[in-house]
Amino acid sequence: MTTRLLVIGLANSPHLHRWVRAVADADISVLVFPALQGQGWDGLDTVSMAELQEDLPPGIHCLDARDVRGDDSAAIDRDWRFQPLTHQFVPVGALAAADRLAEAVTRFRPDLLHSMESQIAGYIVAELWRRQPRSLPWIHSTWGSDLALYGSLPDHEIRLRAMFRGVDFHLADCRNDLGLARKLGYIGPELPVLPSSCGIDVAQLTARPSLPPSQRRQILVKGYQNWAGRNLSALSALMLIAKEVEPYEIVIPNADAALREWAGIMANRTALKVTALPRLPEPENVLTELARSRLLVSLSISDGLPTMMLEAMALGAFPIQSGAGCGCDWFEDGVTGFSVPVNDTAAVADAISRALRDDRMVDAAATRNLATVSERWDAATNAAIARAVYRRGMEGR
Amino acid sequence: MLIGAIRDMVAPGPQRVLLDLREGGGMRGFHLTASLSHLMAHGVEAEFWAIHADKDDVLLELELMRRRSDQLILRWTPNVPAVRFSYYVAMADALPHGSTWDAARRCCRHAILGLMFPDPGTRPKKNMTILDGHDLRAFAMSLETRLQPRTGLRRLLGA
Repeated sequence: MTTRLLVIGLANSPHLHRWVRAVADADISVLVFPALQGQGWDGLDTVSMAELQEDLPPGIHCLDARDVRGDDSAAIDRDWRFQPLTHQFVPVGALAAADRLAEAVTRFRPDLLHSMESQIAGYIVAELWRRQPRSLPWIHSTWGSDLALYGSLPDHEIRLRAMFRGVDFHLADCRNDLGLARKLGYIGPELPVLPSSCGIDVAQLTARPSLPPSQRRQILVKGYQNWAGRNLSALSALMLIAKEVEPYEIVIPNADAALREWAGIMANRTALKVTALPRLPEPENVLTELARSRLLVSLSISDGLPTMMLEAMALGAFPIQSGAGCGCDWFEDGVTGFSVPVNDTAAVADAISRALRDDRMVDAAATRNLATVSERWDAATNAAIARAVYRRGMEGR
Repeated sequence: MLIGAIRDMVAPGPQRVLLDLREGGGMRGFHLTASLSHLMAHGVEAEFWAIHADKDDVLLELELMRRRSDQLILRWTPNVPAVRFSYYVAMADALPHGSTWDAARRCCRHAILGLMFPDPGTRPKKNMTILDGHDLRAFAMSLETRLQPRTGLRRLLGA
């Protein structure tokens, strides 16, 4: 018998894609409901709301991203006294609407609903269940800063509490979220912590030529300077040890405008070789850069389990990661990676310096980190855990 | 009673500090808030005001800072009626300029600047200190020494 799984989330997210591909099998029909209007899953056949019905064949389907919000959705929200709330950088007019989600549920008749990410996807599901009696099990995945950052803001705390009142099964990508979810009212079972991307084929990821980390002459800096990313501070740290860094090329993939600007200044004013790469269309390109890098520096004020850090660990780049998230649950701090204070550039510089000086440490770390991600980020292993959660959800119906 | 009131008036009190939290266009408010986190961890007391644009990322950062400092952190613009500050603190790529910068300097006793990439030959102007902006902890420690509570006389004179 085919299981019908309705996934609501950021349909263009590589994490969602990896998760859905990992769990999909011949017995599951997955419908992805884009949580943002107009942002679908490129390359996947879409189903319009009008065509949607419960007998979709096994496989992965995506609802037409234009159909997740109607012309009358704002008026319906007002009738329900619903004030949309989301990330500060997301226009509320782009959010999928609870009335359209209700229609998708009616048409598709899913056995399970799985929302991925809270401020865009989870809040919409919570609003759906405020409007109508809950008719199916709800599994909710928290990602990144969902709870650690937004849970500390009063307006979001209220929404998160309302959301967790309805969540049957909480899947966290970070151990810290287990306790935070409890504080926000989650009373369901404690489940294994799983990466938001579920897992990958590590052997395939690492099947590319690469030098031992100690022989690599590249430093990768994550390209985000935004609401959570603080990678100008990573560049400041490199400036503090500029002389030591001179023999290395500093590469910044997917660089935000601020990092591009600083890369230009640093390249002009110092002897450092700094290259800011624009948004790379294929994730493959970032992986290639990681495989060339001795270390990855990634700083943010809030995080969950950063996927780029996992990729770095798989590809031999020594992770230097801000301590805001769960990086140090995956590496041994001071041995196979460094967990650094995001606001202390001198401490970050010291960590970088140690990773540049100690060839044995970075080479040994690469071996251990690859073993860690092979064990804990394996698609087949983690998909089996996810399917077991789905079965558990269906047993409770 | 009178002696108590006088003692309250001349007792050391927190200094009023104007923070420039603008991020972008060469201003590095996120560097400043990162640096200030060290001060707040040390329990430094000051009355903070902030210059900021209505940019979402900065507003989020400001909200987090308000919660960390347990202060309202009022917004300052050049239109705010005469409020005097002990210090105006900013971090930037190079020496800032513009009307907000000029107005902020006029209402402060002293400006403390953390610069990351100062133009060659940049010298501090009158009542201005320029520090390296890359070392966030060192910048914070330098601020900390200045932000000790005001002496009673200074407090009575307002800044």
